[in-house]
Amino acid sequence: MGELLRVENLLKHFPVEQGVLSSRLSRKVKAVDDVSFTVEEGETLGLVGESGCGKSTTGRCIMRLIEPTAGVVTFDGTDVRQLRGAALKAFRRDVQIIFQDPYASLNPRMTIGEIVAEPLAVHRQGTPAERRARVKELLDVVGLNPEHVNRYPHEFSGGQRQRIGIARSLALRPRLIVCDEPVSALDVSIQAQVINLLDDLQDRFGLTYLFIAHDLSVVRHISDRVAVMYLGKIVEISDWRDLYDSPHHPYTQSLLSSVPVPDPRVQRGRQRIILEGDVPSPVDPPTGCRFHTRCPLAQPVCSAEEPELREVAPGHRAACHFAAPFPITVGAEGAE
Amino acid sequence: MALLEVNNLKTHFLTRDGVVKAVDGVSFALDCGKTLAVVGESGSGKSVTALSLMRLIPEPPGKTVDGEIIFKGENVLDMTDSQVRAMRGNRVAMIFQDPMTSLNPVYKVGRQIGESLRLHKGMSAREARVRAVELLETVGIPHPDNRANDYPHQFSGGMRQRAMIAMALACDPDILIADEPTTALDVTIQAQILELMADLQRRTGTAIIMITHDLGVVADMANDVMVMYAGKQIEYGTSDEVFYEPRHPYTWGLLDSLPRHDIDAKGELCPIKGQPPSLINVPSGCAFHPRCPYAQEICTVECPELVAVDGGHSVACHFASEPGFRRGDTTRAGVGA
Amino acid sequence: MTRDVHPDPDDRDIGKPADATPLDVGGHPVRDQGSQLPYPPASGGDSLSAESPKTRTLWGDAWGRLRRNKLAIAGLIWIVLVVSATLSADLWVKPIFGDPISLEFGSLEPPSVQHPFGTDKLGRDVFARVVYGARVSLAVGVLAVSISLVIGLILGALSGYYGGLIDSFIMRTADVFFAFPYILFAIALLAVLGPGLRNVFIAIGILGWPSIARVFRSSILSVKENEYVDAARAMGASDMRIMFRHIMPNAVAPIIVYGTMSIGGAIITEAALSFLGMGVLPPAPAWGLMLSDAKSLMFRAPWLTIWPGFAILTTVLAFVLMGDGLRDALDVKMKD
Repeated sequence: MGELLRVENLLKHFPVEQGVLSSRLSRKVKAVDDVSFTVEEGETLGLVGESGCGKSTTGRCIMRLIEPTAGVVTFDGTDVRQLRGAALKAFRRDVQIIFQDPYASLNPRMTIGEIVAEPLAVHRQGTPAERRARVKELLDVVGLNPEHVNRYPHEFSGGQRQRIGIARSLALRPRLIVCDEPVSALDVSIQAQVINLLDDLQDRFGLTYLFIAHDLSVVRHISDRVAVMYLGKIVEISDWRDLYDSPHHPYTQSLLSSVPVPDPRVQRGRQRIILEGDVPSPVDPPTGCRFHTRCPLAQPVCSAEEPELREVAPGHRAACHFAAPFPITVGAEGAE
Repeated sequence: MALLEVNNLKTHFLTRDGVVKAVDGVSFALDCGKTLAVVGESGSGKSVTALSLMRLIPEPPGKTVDGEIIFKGENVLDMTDSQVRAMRGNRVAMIFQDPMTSLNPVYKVGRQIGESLRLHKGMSAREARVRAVELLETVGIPHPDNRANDYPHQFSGGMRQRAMIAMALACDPDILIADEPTTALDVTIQAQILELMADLQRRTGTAIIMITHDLGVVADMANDVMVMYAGKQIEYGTSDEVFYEPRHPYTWGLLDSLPRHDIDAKGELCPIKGQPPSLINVPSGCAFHPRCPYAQEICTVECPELVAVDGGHSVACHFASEPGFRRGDTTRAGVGA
Repeated sequence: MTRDVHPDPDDRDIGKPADATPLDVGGHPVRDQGSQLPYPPASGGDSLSAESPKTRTLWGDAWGRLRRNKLAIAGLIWIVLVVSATLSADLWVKPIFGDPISLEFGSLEPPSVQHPFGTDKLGRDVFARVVYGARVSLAVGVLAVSISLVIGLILGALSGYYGGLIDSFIMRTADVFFAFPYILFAIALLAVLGPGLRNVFIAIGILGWPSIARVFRSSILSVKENEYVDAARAMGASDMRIMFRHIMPNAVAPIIVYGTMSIGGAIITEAALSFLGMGVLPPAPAWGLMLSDAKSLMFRAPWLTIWPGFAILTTVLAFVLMGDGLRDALDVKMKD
């Protein structure tokens, strides 16, 4: 096992259209702003954050579904951004994606057999008979009835459609799967089924996951390591246990304390950090540390200087001038 | 006497494919200053219950076919149209899930908040605006005087939800019905909104009916909990009773299938097998039986009644009163398991 | 409890209960299903069990809905009637009512048993002329719309899929067409091309492409947003494949509606052009031409105006009703 994916200084800026006359001062949505991380083969890296933090964009940039503005993405030693033509197509075999919306991610006019077989058809793998067999095998693996190969997506429930999407992503035997909020749209009792399925598939096929979600409990359950994003930047990244037991960044801490625990006594007894205000716009992110406008600990240095993502504990990095385990206090010592 | 008492409420929809029993026999009571959480997944009937309380069910194809809704001694189902209209927004108010679409985009926010004041309290436009600004301040919107002149698209999601809450509370209602008020919001904003609602409740004594699928929100806000499945009420009790001594296999399944971020070990998730039923073809007998690990013969035939197992704690399961039938029971297995 | 990864065989049944929810723009679940009814729609395969042999495609569902729309079916029946009547006219009209261009009967005879619609100034049987006139109208309707479709679909597809400069260029050209008053533009075209049936449908066809392109383009733009298009890109599908396999089939529904209704519009335009003498030349029977001839005799021989007018009215109405019915039938399906 080694490093499978390396992302360095990934940047994605979307231009905001200003109209014909003011093009010189065109503004940009800084969706992903200098993000770096690595993923080892066989592990699951959870990428967590609220809406607008850039996690989905990061996932899509890695796969070149969206073209990054800048940065280096290395997959198994190869620079992904340089790939063209046949090499790019080969890359697509190795990296697949599972989408969030079970309704929009399947073409309503194709049977599920055609949907799951399409990757094989695109890459011209197997004879038609071999493809049929493989499709049935895949449907079985994800817990669906292979006899239903000629049904249409609208005849299935949301959870089943998600399974179809998972089967499709497995068709080419990928090494890395970007899971873009795969259970967010599902009911609670179905979420657990799909999470267990993903876990099991990972063990069976040696998959590597980049698991993107906003639900902290789900991410914690499935991830080996977790990265927290805020407004296009990674603010904390560590082993799952360290992140949840001992978060060092004030945003992570408030995020964790905001998620209500389904246990009344625990929930009532929790010390919570409620943030003020709304998430700022990624078009004009705050200067210095992006979180300083809502941070309960903000000091003058926070608006002046952007903190680096640096190691605060073994294998645990946080981007805060005052990073410390919960509860952080800012005393005369200032930055650690 | 409870503020609101609902007995055996049934709301059915007549569709081309058959009768959809969206709500099939729901009973509960709500006191002043308390919060009742109605929990269920998609298709459980929780939203329809809320809409039925305000008689907002579209008459064809829906109809409240049975039951009583006793609000402060009067049966809402017997009220005339004008009495119901006088009640809505005034004594019973509702906030909806999607902050994007629940405010009218062509009217200023201040004006929308003032609408119910002008309608129910007879205020003039100027008085209503003054009060609207006060309300915006109460719900924590900065610079309320300027903000009242903004349009909804100039508000963020969290702020729109706050504006909705302001609108709902404008006439000091006795009951606030919140239909998944935070589902569409980010978790840090959700925490703000829940905190706001709890704070307002403490100050004004408004009773809240919180409709949600999120058990975390329930644990945070609710005094009493009602769990619904396929239109039926399957468990009803205080928050402590439902979380710590649940007696229905569906409730156990829900609690077991939740990943937790605060517990130390990473336990395995135990999902409920199968899928929620279609409301057209509800399974015979107990609607949960196809998915229940403890299902017996009787469960496929007879629909269980809601029986009290412990004071106010009631459960709709054939085995609820059997001693030892508790969460994590390994001594019995269902016939189809 | 044992870990439930593969739900047992019971779970492999198809039902379409609601266990997942559509998502709104921000990716958050909109748990009220988006329909007008406050409960999840019981559409699709609710009544299907694993044993049911019939699969329900979306087209099949739409056809079912269309069948139930009485007005649309009435329109369809009328069109079928008109088409069969006119195509078989040689068999039954000529022998009984005479040749539509022969001048053998008395002039301006009011309706009678031998001449149900009377005769015109030149002694021709009006009924025969109306039935034969349908050929012209239908031919123009179908052929003109076909030309518009061919041009409009191609340009609309290029516009919608590629965007950017191509889109701007095509859409601005369409705008130029829109800027001209329709009938005047048609007359001008015919003045250049010369009168006659063939030129009429060329002219109408050329004038019709901008609307079709616009409708198709916007349909494509909305279909493009669906994640199944992203999924196809993620597996390495070529642009052509995405266009023809994924986008076109799903974007075509509004075109079916628009095309059907355009036939009605084309018939009216032809009638107008013939009325103005720019279209079909005498002595060919054409409804517009018949109206033109009847102008001065409107009060003396009302049957000369009423029957061709009635024919135009009912035929166009039939197409419009069918188009309306198609829109309702197809639209609901798109909401799935």
